[in-house]
Amino acid sequence: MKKLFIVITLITVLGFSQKASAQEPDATGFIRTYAQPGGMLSFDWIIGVPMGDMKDNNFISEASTRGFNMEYRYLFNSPISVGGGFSWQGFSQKYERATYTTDGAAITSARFNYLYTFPLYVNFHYYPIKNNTFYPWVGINVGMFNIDKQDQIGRYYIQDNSWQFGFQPEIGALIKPNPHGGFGFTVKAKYNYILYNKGNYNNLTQLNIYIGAALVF
Amino acid sequence: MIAILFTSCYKVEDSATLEDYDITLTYYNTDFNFQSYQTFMVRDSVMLISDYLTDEQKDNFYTEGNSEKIRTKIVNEFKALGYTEVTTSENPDFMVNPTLTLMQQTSVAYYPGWWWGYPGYWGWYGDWYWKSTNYYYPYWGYYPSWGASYYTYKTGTLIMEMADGKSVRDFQQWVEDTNGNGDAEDAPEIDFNWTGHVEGVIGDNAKYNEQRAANGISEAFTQSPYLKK
Repeated sequence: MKKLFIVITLITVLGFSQKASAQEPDATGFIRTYAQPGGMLSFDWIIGVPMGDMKDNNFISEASTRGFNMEYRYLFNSPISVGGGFSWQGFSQKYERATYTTDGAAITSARFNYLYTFPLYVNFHYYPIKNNTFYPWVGINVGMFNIDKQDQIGRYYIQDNSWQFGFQPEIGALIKPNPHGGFGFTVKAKYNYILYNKGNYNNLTQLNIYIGAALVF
Repeated sequence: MIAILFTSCYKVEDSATLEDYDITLTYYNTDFNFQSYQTFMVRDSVMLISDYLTDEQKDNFYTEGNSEKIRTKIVNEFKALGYTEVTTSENPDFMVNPTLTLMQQTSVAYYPGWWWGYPGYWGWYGDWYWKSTNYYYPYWGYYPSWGASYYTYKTGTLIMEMADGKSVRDFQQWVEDTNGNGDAEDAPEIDFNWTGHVEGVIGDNAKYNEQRAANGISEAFTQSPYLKK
């Protein structure tokens, strides 16, 4: 994770060093205005907590700190934005050696479960409040998510690597220490819902917390 | 696509040790009443099949007592369950022919791209470069092991089967009756009512391998409480 933090730190330093003249306030004093359409690029570290069938089916319940997200938004002359992005997350859990029985058979081994997700999505956001330092939003991300799901027992595993439809309702905010600067911190919560109708699964879901940095330009 | 694959074992959890890949598997005839068995015999030595051991190493398996250790362990497990060991001439109710297979496996580790990154492997965010417009762009090209690499490992599988004694004798009788020239399709079937597999990846430490194999044999019997008399 070290390099990820270095990247976020560098963006932070970069952002603070930007000239204040980058953006001018509108008549209401709001800087990131609808009158100034532009882009926002953010880079986030993700903490994921398994929910739903993923947890209930005893697949993986341990939280993941291995994940990153990169997304772009274009803000229009209205309180909405459209964009896209991608992310990567890795979940894993080890189950210590135990015996599992079925009708007429039994197996003893350790188990390892893995889930890697790679969402590719488009996003839509709405910004209800004009505020220069705290700029919240609600939104949704929709796309095709690549999943690599592995159920391993001993040295054998069953793998499902496939593309699934997924969506992520989201709330979040941009926090700008310098209202005139082009830099901000981002905090987001996305409920990652991947449709997954296989076996006793209906979904692969996680509650993901994103902490990152953004450049607005 | 769902497929059962050989995992490239060592790419996984840092905390995993060789014994985490050991599998003990048993299956049995659920219609069979094991209480009807009283006596058994285990073949005098363990059958050894290997695609990498030299003839000398195969001989050592017998002369250095490994075969006997495995055989004794199995005999003792069956005795502990309440069965009586007899000789072939006493027509045992079931017979066990332990077979050890030592094979060399070749596996391929693929590195298809950064987002398929293996657990604990974060090579993909290796390099970023500076652009004069003051933005950072990720440079995905960097990957230390792009492509695939092959590696080999060795596995050991011990198979223990409870072959029904009467069905074995019927088969032997048929071989005798037909002078060994009978049509295989007409041969009487040998019934296996219980099978145990003990499987693991072979490490460099012989003692560790032996201990894991012995542990696996015990597990196979622990897994099968219905065998107890």
